[in-house]
Amino acid sequence: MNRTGEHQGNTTGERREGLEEPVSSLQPLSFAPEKPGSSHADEHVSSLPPVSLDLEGISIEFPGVLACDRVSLAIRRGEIHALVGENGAGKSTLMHCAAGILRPTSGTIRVDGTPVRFTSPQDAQAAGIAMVFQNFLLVERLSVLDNVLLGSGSLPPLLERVKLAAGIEPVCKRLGIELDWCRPVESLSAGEKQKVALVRALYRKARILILDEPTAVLTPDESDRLLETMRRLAADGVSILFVSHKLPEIRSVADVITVMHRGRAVASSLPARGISAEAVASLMVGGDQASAPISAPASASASPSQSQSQSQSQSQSPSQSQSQSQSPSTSLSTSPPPPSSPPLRLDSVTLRAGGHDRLLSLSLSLRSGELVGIAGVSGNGQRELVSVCAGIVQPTSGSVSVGGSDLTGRSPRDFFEAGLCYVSEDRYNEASAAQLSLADSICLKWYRSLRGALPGSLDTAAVTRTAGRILESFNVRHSGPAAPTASLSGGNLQKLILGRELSHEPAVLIVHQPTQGLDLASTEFVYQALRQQAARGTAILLVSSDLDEVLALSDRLLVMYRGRFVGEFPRCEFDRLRVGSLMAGLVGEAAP
Amino acid sequence: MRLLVEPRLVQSRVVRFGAPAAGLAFGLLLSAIMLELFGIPAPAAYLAIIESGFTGGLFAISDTLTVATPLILCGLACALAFKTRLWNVGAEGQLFLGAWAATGVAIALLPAGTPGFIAIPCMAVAGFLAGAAWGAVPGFLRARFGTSEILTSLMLVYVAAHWNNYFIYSVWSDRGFQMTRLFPRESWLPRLSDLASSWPGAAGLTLHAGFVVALLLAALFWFVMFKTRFGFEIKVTGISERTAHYAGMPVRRNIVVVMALSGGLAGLAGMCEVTGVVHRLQENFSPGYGFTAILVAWLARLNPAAIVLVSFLLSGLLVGAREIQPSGIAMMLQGIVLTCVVAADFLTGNRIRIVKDAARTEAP
Amino acid sequence: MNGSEFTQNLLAAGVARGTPLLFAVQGELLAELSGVLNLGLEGIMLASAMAGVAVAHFAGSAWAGLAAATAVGALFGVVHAFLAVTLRCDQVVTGLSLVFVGTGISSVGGAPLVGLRQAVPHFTKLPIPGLCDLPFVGPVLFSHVWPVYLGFATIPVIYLFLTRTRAGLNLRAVGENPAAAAAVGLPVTRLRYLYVVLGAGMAGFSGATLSLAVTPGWVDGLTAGQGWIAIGLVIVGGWRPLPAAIGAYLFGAIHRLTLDLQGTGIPLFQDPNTGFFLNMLPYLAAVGVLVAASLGRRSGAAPTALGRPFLPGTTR
Repeated sequence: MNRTGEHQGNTTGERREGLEEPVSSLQPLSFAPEKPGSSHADEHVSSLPPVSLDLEGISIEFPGVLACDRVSLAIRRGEIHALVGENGAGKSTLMHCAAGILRPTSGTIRVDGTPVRFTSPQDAQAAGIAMVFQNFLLVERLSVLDNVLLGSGSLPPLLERVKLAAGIEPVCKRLGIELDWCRPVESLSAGEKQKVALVRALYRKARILILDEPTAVLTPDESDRLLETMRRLAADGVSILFVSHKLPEIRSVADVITVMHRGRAVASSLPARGISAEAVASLMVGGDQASAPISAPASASASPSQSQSQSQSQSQSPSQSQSQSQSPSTSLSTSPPPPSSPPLRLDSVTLRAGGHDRLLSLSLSLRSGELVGIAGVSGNGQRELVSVCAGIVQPTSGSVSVGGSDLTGRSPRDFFEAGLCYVSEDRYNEASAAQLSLADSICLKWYRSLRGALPGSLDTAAVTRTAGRILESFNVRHSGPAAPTASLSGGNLQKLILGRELSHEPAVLIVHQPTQGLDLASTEFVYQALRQQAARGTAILLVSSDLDEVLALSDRLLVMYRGRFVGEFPRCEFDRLRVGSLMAGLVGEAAP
Repeated sequence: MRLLVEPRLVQSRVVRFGAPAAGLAFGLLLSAIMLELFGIPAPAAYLAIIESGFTGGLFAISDTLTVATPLILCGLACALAFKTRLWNVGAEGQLFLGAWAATGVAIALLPAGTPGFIAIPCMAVAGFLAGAAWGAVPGFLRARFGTSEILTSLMLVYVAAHWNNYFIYSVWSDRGFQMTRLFPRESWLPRLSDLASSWPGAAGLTLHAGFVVALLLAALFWFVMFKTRFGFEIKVTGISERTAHYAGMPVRRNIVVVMALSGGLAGLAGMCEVTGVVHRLQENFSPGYGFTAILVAWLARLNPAAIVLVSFLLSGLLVGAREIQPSGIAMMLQGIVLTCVVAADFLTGNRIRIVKDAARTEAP
Repeated sequence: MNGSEFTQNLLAAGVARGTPLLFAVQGELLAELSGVLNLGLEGIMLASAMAGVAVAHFAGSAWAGLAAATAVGALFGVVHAFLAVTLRCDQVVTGLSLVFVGTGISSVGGAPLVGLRQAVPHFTKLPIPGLCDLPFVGPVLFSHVWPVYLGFATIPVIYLFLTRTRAGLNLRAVGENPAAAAAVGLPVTRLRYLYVVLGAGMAGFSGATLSLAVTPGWVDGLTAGQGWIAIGLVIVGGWRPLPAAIGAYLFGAIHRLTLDLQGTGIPLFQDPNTGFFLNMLPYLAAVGVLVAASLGRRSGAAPTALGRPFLPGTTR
């Protein structure tokens, strides 16, 4: 399997070199039959719809990095083509290239057989290609209508908004979508924003749609509806290229799969229905599918440094979590009643900010060694919740206590000194800062105890020593403690941050989106570290919009929706479907 | 073929010092062109500046160092604020108020005949505190309400100027002239010419003790910035306020403290100027030291040693420009040079390559 | 002087003196909405006010002076756009450096012009026949130099431009989220250049309005901080054109108030000492409204990408 991919990579590479100058019109003919036949597919040979987007031998080089290495990919008319791979495998770069945002260093892009050269996204739009970004790239303060209209080539100089809105209605009808044109986009949920982005793409008469992780921020129900919309569009003749990490949804919606690993396409256009999730997962991590070990569930005692070897088992956990095959918990929900002073306790915490209620009467109590997960679609108050818990933001009413002492209204420093550590979701701007040196990032909280001889002075030698110790014990790959924090990859930075917080031996640890944007190995490292820390008796609050992650790690789970806890489940009662519908606000406000 | 701009991953020493130097050279060239446009012979003007600012013997150097004193102090004031990413552009106003307070102590508060070792420290404290108060106001407004300190600190310059005028023209006016009476001799800062009795060569040298104070404060600035926990907090706050707050640093308090210290340093500069140089309070005693200091701090990249050096160079310009008319020349030269050096900064962080055809820009 | 006469004079002077502020505020608003902070306003206004007087004097035509001033402003805009947009320099520093340049140039170039005063060709009042005879409203609104009337006209024009046109929509998108704007194909860099240059050109026009129409003649430091006040008014107005325009006229009136109060015959205001404090009034008022504005909104109204350079090709 892997060999096939390698082989194909090589052949396309040779082709590229051989056919750089000659007449290009021959090329699609010459190897159109090769593509589908490359591995399994025997059923497509004749009567295939024509290729609408053909990327051939695309290489994209950034200073010092070869992000895409001679990748070839063909999407047929009405086909749903899944692109999978780890973070940093080059998927986004490839898609940006197809959407005209980046120019390839070498290689050819053809639309309906005609070679094209995009110098801007508008060129790609003119060719019928539109991209829906993971973060949607909408202008938050502008209205839904303005976002759809923005940049559209046919827009008149004077905007008659009522008339223009009527012109978009047919697109919405076709998608079965209803939108309130006047609302500012910032007030929409992620699912609604995505609809706006889709309508925007189709309003421009896009025939080739590129979707970057379209379901990443959706509730299970919203995801299902999106997949349905995708099928309908494909039936209409729209070609769809989409990136996803979620193998079940890929298998349910995609016709073919292309797998990328380290900038190369290790498997192209595999038929989606014939392949097992394990095989894809193994290709994604660059392993050999045949020998991929189905390893035992990770145990709580495994040390973080072993994570590398664990990564493959982890790759499957998202798809398996429904079956709850992994049981990492150390304490069961039937553990003894909470002691008199819980490590972290929230009492009817309410937060109002910017004229809106962000948190509504939240109460929560953590026990030592307990890992409590908060599930929810992001933007439902999670950020506010962790900020209040860590003392970053003061609640409007209610109280927060750490280790039994009421710290409401106190500074983040008091929370820290009471034994609370917090790993913020914003690694480059809050939990550390891009321009700080690694040593300074590590000593963000240690600096107070690293006193020099003179009053008020800082022992700078101790700063470097502490930094070196933590960098080493948490296996951070770095280029010296004086290097800027920006030089670390997301995974290594997260190791640094987690390492720093754990080095303070916290009684309470709050982690927010701990694995967002991390590759499998780093993700597994984080999971191991969290499990280990819980086993040591630290109370952990895990807030994440990745439902699989919360289900896999938590001893107890709460669902957050519009600033409230709308459901609570002990581990033995985890029910993915019920949690999913609570996340979407479908079930009424069930009393926790 | 097109130009590709990409971040420089490694900044070599050549680039780090070469780029600002190139910016400086280009700025001087551009300024020369501007001067010629206004009908002022540029080479003559430059020579006059160099002669009276630097090469004109002991007197020139003494004058230049005298002017460098308030520049160093205000430069440190600006650098401290800028390091915290607080744009204190009102050092001029803080300098005015420092001068005002020192004057008040010298001519209105202390009885005549107070010995210098009491009077001068009292004036210094008063000058520092007045400047600190004037700096703390924008700091407090920024910390408490999030009001832009750029605008408030600048507005307060105009307020301070009118405040001083009230005293210069009215309350402390010397027989109706637009100045106060001379300070009592005891409260003048000691200066080199005081040594003339034992060393005749020192006669007429105006350099005063404030210069030594400025150098000591530059050293203290270095220590505080790089070797103290407060300095660490300042650094983190300047890079990211959110990170500092996250780490439990008292961000709001530090904003007020930094603005107050910054104002205090500028106030001290004002005190030095009135007790060391003019020995009275009058209008226009400062040729915009507080504004030039912004330039000093930026050109020196907020480094205290470089602040001393840049202050010396710029004060040569200020001293030299006194000799040539019209008076705006110094300001224009400063502006053009700053603009060019800021532009040259781009070259230290990025490099420009000529490429055939490639990915459009840096990684997303 | 009775109360209504006092009010009438004050409002009339407020409208006249507010006009230069209005143009500067609108120019800054356009630049900031595109995401570029231009702190150089004070310098740009000074340099172009001086250039306006100089050219008007030597060419013998106020119109030539006005054109030259606008061109000088636009030239500053080109420099600022190059530094802030192309070189992605810190916009606070580049803006401040332009203040130095502008102030210096105005001072050097203006030295020979100081004595000229009213001798310079300038625009005279152009009362609108019929309307200017209306009681109260006539002197307040319709007995002014022509740029004042132009100022009235720009207010609805800019408002409609921002809310009802494609170009206005594109402008706001570029300042709110340049990555999103670029993704739908808007030329972010070109648009930012356009509005920075346009905004600086309007600041230049504003300087000339001051030196050729409202207070004819050149004195060193003519603007006395009005460039800074204009920047403050953009913030106070919450980046909306109408409140910013009202603020401009209000500050025009405050500037005038100090003079008018001294003429009222009230003993307190006749004491020359009070004058020093009255002179502080515009600046203290500016601080006051800035604080009030930040109390009310906590800076939520600023264009999201204001002051942030955009690296083409990025999506976040």
